[in-house]
Amino acid sequence: MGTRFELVAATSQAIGELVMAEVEDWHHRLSRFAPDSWVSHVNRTAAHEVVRCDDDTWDLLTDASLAWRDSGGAFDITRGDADALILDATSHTIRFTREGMSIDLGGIGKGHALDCCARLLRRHGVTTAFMHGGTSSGIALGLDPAGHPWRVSVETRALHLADTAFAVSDASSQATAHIIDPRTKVPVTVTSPHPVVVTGPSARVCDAWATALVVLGRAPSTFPVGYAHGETTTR
Amino acid sequence: MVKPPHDRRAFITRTVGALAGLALVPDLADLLPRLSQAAATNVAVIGLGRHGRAILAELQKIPQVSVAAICDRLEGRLTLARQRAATAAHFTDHKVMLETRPDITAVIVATPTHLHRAIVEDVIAAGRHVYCEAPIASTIEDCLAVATAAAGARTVCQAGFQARSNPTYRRAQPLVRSELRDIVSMSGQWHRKTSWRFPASAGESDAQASWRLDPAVSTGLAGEVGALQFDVFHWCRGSYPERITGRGSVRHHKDGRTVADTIDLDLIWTDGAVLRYSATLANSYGGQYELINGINGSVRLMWSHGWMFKEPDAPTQGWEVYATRQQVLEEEGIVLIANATQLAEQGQLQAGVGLPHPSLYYSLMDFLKSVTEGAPVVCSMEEGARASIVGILANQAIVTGKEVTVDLGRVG
Repeated sequence: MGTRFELVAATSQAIGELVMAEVEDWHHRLSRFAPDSWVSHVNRTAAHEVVRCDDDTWDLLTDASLAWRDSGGAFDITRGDADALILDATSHTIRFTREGMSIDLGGIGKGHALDCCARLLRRHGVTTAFMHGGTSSGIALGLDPAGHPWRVSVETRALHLADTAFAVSDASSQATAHIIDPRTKVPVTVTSPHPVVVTGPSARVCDAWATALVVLGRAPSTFPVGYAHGETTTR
Repeated sequence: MVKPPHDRRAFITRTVGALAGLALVPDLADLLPRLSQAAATNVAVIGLGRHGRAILAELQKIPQVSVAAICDRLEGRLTLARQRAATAAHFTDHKVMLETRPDITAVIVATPTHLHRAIVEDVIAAGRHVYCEAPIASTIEDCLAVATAAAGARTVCQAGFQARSNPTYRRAQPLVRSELRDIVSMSGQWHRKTSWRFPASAGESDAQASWRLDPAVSTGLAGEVGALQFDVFHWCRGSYPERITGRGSVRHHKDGRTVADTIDLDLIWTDGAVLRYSATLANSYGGQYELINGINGSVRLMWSHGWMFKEPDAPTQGWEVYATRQQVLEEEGIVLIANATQLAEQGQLQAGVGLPHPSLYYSLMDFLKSVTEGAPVVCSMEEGARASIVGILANQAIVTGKEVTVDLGRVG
């Protein structure tokens, strides 16, 4: 995923290594740059035949699809070709109706890996942990060892997190110059000196909405219940 | 200090003059294999640790495969695996699975190595095709037993030595024999920073979870990892070493373990050529590779990538003229890549380098082609037994500190 993941947890090295192996697994599966990843397989194949998804990947695609719908297309793993993406909820398959299209899970993959790691930690009885990917996405399990919510500083603000994920997107002009609005296929022009911060139960949903809010410049009426967003750009 | 401006022309001249690398890019048909049949084949996977789940992920890519059952003695691992095979029936006893599911045609065994033998024998006795992960067993007796059972089987029996299915390695194997001429030396390594400890699941002891650290059942780095790489050299050379010497110690993970976390081995062939091999759990630099040096050049293999480096005085083959040039390794300068233009035109391979699937996928596809199309088995259990025994003997050389003679006469 092209970034550094770190885990803070009072647990065994074995569990720590297991969690990092989970990150590596998802990196290998979701990278669109690695030719042998699952995403590359989908991008090569789905225009010719349906591609089956396992439950984890299906859940990821479902959340990506909901974020696309609720953000009015501001978050889009197809980068503007969502009409040509068919997700079959009965067979859990993915298909493209157009040759040449592709999916890019870069905007949601880090959060997904963090969600899977959090589940793995809980399965092994770890109730106190903090993990982040590239400092822009993270998830807190329980309270910190002192019994307080985990404290994350974003510029001058402090987030206090317990069993909560977060995602941060830079909305400055330098950052948005590299973000393409999938609805218009041109770079985002509305900027803010403050980053977008989203907190909620799922890191991957936070990831998707942190990107969507930068593109939208505001929170839409369909912003998911149970999630909170901090400073956002304004139109 | 001011650095002189980079002179690209001089750089190219210097590096090409020294050694030119030919990237070993296989044919498209090998890169994207397909099963010809339309009907689904019911497959079961026994052993659902991390590798078993990786197998499930690869099987899911193959439309003609239906994972009909999954089996592991631990409920926790079955639960995890269900996320990758939601519709599969699940079993905690492979014998029950074999008895109650006659529709299962092929079985993939991915349990810890020391548990392979009994399961493979049961699968063969039940008349099913079997793919056994490498190494095939942790004792010489078990290797021989698996090979004997497979020799009497009417079904497909494949050992999972993946290099033999890897398209890059397939491309390289004949070139080692035809282009390098006499072998000067060989080397290989497997370097990874990890403890080899795994957290126990419910119903499992720490020793069972971290079975590679249990000297009663583990063949150490030489047997569990090295054997797969040694087989690359066996396969490329068409012969096996005759003697092995080795050393091992716990260099980093001083947690009471006795299985070495760092090893060095010399595998010596009858012609005097030596394979220098190192493996460690204490350092990740350089990762994994195999290198074969001949008087006309060298072949370096790195799982998804491979290159041949010709000596300046080596004869040039006709096909090399059509190879595409590309810079791959900084230290080697310009390399040539065969077929890259064709691959790029067809949009099949990014930059002409790398494989579109993990090596495991190709190994499983070869097995399924043997099962459904009668294709030749790429790595028989007999070949798997030989490679596994070399790994076991290499571990003996490390544990005893004495030179070990390789005797494979009892296999086949």
